[in-house]
Amino acid sequence: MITPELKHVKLVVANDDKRHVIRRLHELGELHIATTEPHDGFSEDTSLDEAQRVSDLLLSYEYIQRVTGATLQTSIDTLPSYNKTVEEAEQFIETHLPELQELEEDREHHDSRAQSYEEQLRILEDLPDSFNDLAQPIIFTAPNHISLEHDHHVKQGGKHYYALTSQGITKAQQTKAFLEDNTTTRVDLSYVSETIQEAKTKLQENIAYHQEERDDRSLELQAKGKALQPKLKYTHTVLKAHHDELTLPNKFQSNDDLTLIEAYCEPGIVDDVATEIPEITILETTPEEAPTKLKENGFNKSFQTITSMFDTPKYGAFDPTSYVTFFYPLFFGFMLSDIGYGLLTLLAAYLVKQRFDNSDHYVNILSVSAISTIIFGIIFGSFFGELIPIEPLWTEQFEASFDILIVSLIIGLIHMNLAVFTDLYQRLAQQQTLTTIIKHVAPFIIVQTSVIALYYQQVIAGVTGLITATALLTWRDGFIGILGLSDYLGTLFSYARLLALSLATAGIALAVNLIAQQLSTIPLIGSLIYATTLIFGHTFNYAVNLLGTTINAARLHYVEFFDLFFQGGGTPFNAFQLP
Amino acid sequence: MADITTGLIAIGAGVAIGFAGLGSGLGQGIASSAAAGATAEDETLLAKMLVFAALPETQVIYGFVIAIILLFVFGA
Repeated sequence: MITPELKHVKLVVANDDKRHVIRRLHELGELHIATTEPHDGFSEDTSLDEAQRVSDLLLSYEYIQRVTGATLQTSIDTLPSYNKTVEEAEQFIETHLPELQELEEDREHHDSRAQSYEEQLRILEDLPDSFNDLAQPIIFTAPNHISLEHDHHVKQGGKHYYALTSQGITKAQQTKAFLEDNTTTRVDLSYVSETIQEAKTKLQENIAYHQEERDDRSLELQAKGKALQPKLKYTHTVLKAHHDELTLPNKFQSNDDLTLIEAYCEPGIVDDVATEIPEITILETTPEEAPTKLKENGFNKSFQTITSMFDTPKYGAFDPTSYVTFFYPLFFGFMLSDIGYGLLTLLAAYLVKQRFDNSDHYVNILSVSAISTIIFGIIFGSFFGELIPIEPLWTEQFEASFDILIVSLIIGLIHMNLAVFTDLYQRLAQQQTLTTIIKHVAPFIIVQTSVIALYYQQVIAGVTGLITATALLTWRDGFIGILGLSDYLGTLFSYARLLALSLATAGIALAVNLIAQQLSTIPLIGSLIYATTLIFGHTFNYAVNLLGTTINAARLHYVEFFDLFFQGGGTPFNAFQLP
Repeated sequence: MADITTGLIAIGAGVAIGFAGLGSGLGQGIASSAAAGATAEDETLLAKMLVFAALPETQVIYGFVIAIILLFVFGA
């Protein structure tokens, strides 16, 4: 449907009533608050200084949340007074923050020391074990054997290790020679003041000490977070609500007496605002551009997610979600087309619902798509391939691939026609000029008619139609319009992916079943291998094709369908709500 | 003679889908890596980038259509 017409309203409010009006607008929940354009005699609202004070407090709360792991959000029934909340919050932060900061700094110090010692220990553990008893050695590594004077040599893990342990001048000379050889790398052992083994033991003790200290601090922080939790999350939520209310005027214009708020709403809401909030003076206009209000319900609302992922329809354009609600599950089911995989998708939908909050939209999409998959599984007689034999309602994919290709292309043609006629309806609703409508809608219709004419051997009519369509496309798109005819053909053939993915699903399922069948003849463990192959094979096939199906069902909408009519670039309508 | 014809049709179908798949794969690799980079910068671009990544896939579908026509129309 065409997105609904909205009114642009300017709300004039006395400054003393501003807080009250904002709260009433929130309760009404029907207005999209826009950034108010500059007006003579008004300037940007100056409540922001106060908002900064609350922002700072919120940052402190978020710091506490990060270091203690406490939860910040809760629900509140009533919003306590602003002054009282801010004073309490400041006192809370003043009391608890310094102690928590000290604990966190201490925890970070021990963590960083433990990590540093771990790194040193890792270097020592990489050295050959035979070097463990060497005291204060200088160690070099080299990729190849070298003939420089040294005291110990070990080849380990494809590298050559050389240890220099002599005392005095010999050691200095050996070291110089090794440093001059550019194939060698010196191992940093500046922290080793005894034997390697002793250094390792000391490092292990240090690591244990710092890890223990770090864990103690973490536990202390968690305990403090737990103790502060009730107060912490309540005050944070209240502060956040006040903050959102304070930063809202960022969008307003105000002077010493009045505040000007610009908003969009449906025509019927204007009277409600006037009745419900008598403190407001309303100036109403009909805008040319406005946010797009989408009015989907039930399952449609779930499929809105798919449209919105692509773009928001522009104001006054057609919202294609009702089409997506029908065609997305149709394409999904056609491409996955297996009763078993459909049941797995239903199970997945159930698990998503159990596991994730606010997942209703995804669950709805998955459930409807799963039912469609089961229906197509029945049509093609596929239940985990042919693992569970059932009689196809129509035919198996491999038996009548060409017929299924024709059906795929017919579905594509219906889809494309729906798009073109929707484009016609949309442009008529937008009162576009006849020339524009002809340029956009006529070519596709003429091409189809011409193809039908050619099929019935009306060559002159057919060729004339194709030339006319090409001329219209060139008029519309310039020189590139010459490619328009092949573009239509390409779009139509793209729907062959319905068959392609359906065949891929059935083909891999068939292969898995055949492999499992062959392996089942192995004596003793045949049954076990048969079951394992089936489980892994079908899981793989399901995962790969679920991904392909999800993407390709979306792609057929985004690329082939929307390209013919969709007018995007809209701004979503966000009904004003305080938290 | 009939066997040679069947064989040539099978080879033709294989070549059609094989080379189309190769081209699509190369194109999709290039497009997808760019799309992944763009999505990492701005995740709201996911759907649009999905379109770009999926565009070269159409070419293999053309190859697939040719292969099906070869096998089921000329091979029948």
